[in-house]
Amino acid sequence: MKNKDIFKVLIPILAVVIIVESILVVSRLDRSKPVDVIIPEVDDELTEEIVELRQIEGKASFVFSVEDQNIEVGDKKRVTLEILPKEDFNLDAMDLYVSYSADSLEVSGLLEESGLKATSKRVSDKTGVVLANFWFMEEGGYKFEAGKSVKLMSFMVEPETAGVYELSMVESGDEVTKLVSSIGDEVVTYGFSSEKLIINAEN
Amino acid sequence: MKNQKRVQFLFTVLLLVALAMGVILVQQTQELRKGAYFGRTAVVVKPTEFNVAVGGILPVQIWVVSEEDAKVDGVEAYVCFGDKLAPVEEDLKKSVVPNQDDSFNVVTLARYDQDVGCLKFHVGSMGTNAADVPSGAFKVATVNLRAVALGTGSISIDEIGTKVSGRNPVVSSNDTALLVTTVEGASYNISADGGEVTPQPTSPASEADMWINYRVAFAGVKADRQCATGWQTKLTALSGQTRKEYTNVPLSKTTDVNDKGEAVYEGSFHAPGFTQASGVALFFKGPKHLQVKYGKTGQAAFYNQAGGEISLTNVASTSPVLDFSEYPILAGDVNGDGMINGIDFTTIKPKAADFVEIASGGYLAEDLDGSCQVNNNDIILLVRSLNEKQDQVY
Repeated sequence: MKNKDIFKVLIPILAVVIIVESILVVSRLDRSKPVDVIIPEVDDELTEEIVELRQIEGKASFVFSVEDQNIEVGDKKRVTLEILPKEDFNLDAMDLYVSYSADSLEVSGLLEESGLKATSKRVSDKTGVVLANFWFMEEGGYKFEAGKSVKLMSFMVEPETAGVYELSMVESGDEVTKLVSSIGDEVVTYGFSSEKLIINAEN
Repeated sequence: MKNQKRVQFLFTVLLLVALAMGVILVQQTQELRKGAYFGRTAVVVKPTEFNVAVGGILPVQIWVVSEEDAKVDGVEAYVCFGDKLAPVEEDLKKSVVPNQDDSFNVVTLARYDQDVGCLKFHVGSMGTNAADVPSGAFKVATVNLRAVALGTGSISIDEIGTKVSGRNPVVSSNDTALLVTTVEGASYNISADGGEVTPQPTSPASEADMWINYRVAFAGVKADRQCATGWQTKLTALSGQTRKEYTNVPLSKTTDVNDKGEAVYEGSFHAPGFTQASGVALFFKGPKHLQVKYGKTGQAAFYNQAGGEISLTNVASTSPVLDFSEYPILAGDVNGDGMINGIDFTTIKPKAADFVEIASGGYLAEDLDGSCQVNNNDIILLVRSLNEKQDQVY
């Protein structure tokens, strides 16, 4: 009899609990409808985007050389730019941009080296840039061999005032140094390293 | 006793109903993820009709209309257009121009599914305050597509592949997605003869806006060239602090030639929003060309001065015809990065070696002189442009 009484209380309580829970679930379902699609997950897809131009790292180094880095004001010394390939590669185009302090250095006598012929070359005292675009017309481009340095261009440097000046490859901005090649139908650029040339101009 | 039995019966029925409801709910798929929609939107293409020549550009505007002023800060759209159209730029992100006026300032994704002729892109509003994020009807971006073959077709928005996100007014909610309920596309007609140029997608010009009448030439494009029609040309008008850019300005080939035998193209354009009548400089840029500055009519060489000397009026018939044809627009920016360098050369070189050809009326970025064939003439043009540009800059 006592057991029967417990059931009489338990069953209604259970019923009420289930009803309340059902109402809660139903209201939640209504609020989150429809939900077939969630927020776009852009991050995952970013990796799928087509990249502009593939760059292959570390193919070569650019090296400046000069007979003597200590140059007297009014004296001229020829600076040579060489490329030192770290591995074999071919280039279809090489755009070289060297920056210098046009206020203190005068640059002249720009020459191509190693029998290379520049498509375009300039010394700009307006912008402080020495540039040479080597575009290789031959099929397959120009072959560079690992460890075999190639002189590219040279120019005279004359300090106008005493001080410490540097020449360096232009690597940022609109017009930058580029090593360009084609692999099949793909155009790629090769990364490179370079060191600055320090000029000590003395009176 | 009778009452007790009645209560007992009632509770038993109630229990059975509750159990049945429980079973039904359990059987339903319950969405427990975050990401429910907080609003509804429509994504539409404007204008609804494009008429363009082969090689021409279709500035396809993507608009969003959000209901109940829901604020939108990102749109990932999947736009399908078939094989007669292709993104203008090799760098796909550059083909999608976000509408910065409505705070869309970044393209974070651009993927071209060439096999199905669809472009997926995501345009977002980064670092923008909620108050500045647009709602209602607004343009999200312009997708620039090039007509690459003759024919007709449609531009559609794939509803399933298109997603819109926004700022939920309920700050505590994690739900930032908006349901795309409607999509509307457009149709296009690509003709061979230059056809009708698709109107410039800007607000219409007002009476105070200037008319620009011009004659230009493209470097190396002689009168007989068959693949130099419908070239999309950008015009920038500058005067003092005012600068307005217009894409796809009208250009019609005339029978005239300049001193070098290059074909002269002419156009007349009522420039929306440009009210400056004097001291104007104009910049023209073709689809594979460098931007060239024109500061005075009859200009035959590089204009090496700040500002410009051009005067305009707001009446088409009285605004002077500006003749720039003796200083043609320089060719050679094949990859559209605004420069001429070894990348452009390396892109053209193998095609010139293979004498790659296209049908008359077609478009090929490497075919600089519009001869329908890539050859040494294009390389020569490129080298000339390089030297000209280096002379100007250095």
